[in-house]
Amino acid sequence: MRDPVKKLTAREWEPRAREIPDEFRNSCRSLRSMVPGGVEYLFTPWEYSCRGDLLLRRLRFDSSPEALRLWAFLFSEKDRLFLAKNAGAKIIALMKDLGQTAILSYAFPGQLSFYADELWWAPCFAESTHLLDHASDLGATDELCFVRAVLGAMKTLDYFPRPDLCVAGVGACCDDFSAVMQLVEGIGIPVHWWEMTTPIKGGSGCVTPFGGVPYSARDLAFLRGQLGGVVRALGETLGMRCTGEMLRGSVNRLNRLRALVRNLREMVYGADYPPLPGLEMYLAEFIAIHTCSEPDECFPVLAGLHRVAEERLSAGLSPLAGEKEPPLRVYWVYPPTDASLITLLEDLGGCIAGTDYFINHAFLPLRTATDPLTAVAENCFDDRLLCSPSRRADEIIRDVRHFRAEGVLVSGIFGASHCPWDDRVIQEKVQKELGLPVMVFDVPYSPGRVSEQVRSRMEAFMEIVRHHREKKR
Amino acid sequence: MNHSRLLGYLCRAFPPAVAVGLGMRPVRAVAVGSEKAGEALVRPDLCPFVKSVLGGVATGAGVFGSVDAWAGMYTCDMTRRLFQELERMTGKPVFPFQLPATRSPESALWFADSVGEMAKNLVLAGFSSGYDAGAALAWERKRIAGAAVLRNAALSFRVPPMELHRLFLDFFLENRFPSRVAIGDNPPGVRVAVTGSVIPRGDDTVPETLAELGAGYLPLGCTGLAGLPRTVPEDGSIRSLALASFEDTKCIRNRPNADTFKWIREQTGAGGANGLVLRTLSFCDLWHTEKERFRRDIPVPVLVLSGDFSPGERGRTGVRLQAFVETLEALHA
Repeated sequence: MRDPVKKLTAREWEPRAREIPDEFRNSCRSLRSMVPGGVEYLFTPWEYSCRGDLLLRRLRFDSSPEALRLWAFLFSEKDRLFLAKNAGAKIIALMKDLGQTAILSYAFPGQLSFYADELWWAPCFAESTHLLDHASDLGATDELCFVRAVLGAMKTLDYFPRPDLCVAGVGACCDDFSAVMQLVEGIGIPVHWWEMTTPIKGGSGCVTPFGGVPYSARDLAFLRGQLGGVVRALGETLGMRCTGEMLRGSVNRLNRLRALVRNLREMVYGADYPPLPGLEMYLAEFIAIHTCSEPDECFPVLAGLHRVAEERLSAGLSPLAGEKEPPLRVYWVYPPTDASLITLLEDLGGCIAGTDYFINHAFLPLRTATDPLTAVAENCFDDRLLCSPSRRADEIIRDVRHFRAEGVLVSGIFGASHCPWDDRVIQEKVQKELGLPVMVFDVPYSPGRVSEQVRSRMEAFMEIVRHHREKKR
Repeated sequence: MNHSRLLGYLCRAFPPAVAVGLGMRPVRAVAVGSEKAGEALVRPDLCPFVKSVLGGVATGAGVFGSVDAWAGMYTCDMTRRLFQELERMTGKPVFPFQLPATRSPESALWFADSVGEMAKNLVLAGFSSGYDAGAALAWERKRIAGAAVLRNAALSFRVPPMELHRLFLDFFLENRFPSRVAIGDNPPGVRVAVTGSVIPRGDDTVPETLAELGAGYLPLGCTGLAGLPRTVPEDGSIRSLALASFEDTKCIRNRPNADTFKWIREQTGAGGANGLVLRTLSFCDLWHTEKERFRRDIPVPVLVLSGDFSPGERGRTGVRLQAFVETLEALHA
């Protein structure tokens, strides 16, 4: 099963999947702590596409069984949530903070937590406006970004069972999702609100230990109290008290997970010939924020990918190695709503060399030499969407240098309240400080095919990056 | 106190008496006209009010040009990013802090302390030589008294719409607190309450159209009744002023915002309005997304209007408001 190293379509994976050894297939089980023997999840992208995620038929996947496991792990999250509920577990919907409240919720046993925000990409994967239509009926119309799909999903309960509690971060957050979360409460789902706090430089000279973000000690104390409120609300819903030991255990576990993803990013995005394609990395990055609703199984999934990347690097193998020269290195800003754009980038001779999918704070370690709530609060301040657009641009510039990217692609999200500010600042700063090509465009909803306009723009952008590389020789 | 330095602010939740206590003149810069200048600096798909503020500060236009420093209160996301970038883009000093969306006692205290921190930083930066609680309290009392006069006048529906609009904007921009307001004899047959996004100076479309149609006008938004102070602070300390201001803030951004809905329902009923206009600005997700809830929860007919201060808006709004008022007339004939 180790050869060949290439990318396959969903159909091409079908016969190959039958060659997967039973031992490997049997190891792919989730919910072991809730369902005796666990639940097998290693289905193919084609099978998941038959359940409704049609976009899978337009993507190309890495040929390793470990990558198949990653895809299956991600697309089986929905099943996990329903099965867990059926097994008596409580279901917690986390909203907006992207990575911090999961550390708190996974301190508690007997529950599964998921980020409702991730339903954001469901309409594109399903190539259906079903969730958006339901959201529109409730007032969340198309001025908002795709995150309004969360409201549709809360209404239909097609993607997850009714949450026992929603944990909603507001304050320093985008307006569209804040509005959506309010409507979620309006349809009768219990919500615990907590205040996300913009880091503001204070007189105390405090900076976060790993992100280097200045903040005031007073704000940290408030935020710590807010996170304490989240823990209490979770405890009330789950009927148990959370101890310091439980929280420390969760911090340690998430630190191990974050380290896996961090190392994977360094290995893959740092290589001239990346050992894994951009799509698989896209999925892997998001596991860092929430374990994909499976805090045990996510480790072997990521460890497997890690192993594949290491082996390929030492053997000089890459699924993107078809060209005479290394692929053009592109740093990607914002998670693309249409995942097929990453495949398109690679088809055009590029590779992903660093990302800012909103979640870079989730790759930073959590401090263990302090109390867990302080460690999580510090990590909240590292969230690039809470910082100023200028600071975010500076972080991107640092990443671009680190990963030796040759161009920056900003795939904006129409209707997102941060894009009109961030995009322009990022574009201007990157061009000024690095002199690299930057392309900014919004990704429209385009079921069944890549938007022609987007395709044309990406083709032109890749030509410019190629020209830029040749000029530098 | 000569109040020679101007402290600019945008949101009604900021306690302007704090500026007075610092020896500064507060100016709530709710005015439009510089959107194009703002669009030169950011993408066009941004709240037109925020674009106007950015453009106004960058070019020194109108009220924006006279502001010496900004109380950079982070409220909605677009305003937060405005104040995160304004100093870098224009060179005008910004003193940032966050208005919580949550409404807990802890959030209220954190807000009050944040306002105190901002005041301390203004002193450190040389904009003020210190804080005078007595001056702040005396000014705030006058403001609350003026607000009561204005509130009663508005709820009577007997002040012509454009006159009422001017009185409210004078209150917020010029700190003119009326001791009396001339009230007409008979309220009009159709009485329209208006809520939603800020209605700044230079954006007269709704009150002007209502005046032309002979309808009454009750501004409920943050440049209307929701912007007026109600809670009397315990004393002139920054903390008391900030807590009172926080308590009075009935904004759709509050989480949860059930209390804001309740307040809008009550005010609509208290004034005897026949209809409610929800007037939102383009890209103002916080108000616009609540439109179905308004239609469902408010016991009078609701008209949703979206605007961007453009010349084309006047015609569109006029037609829709006319149809709305005519329908209300027919209902109450």
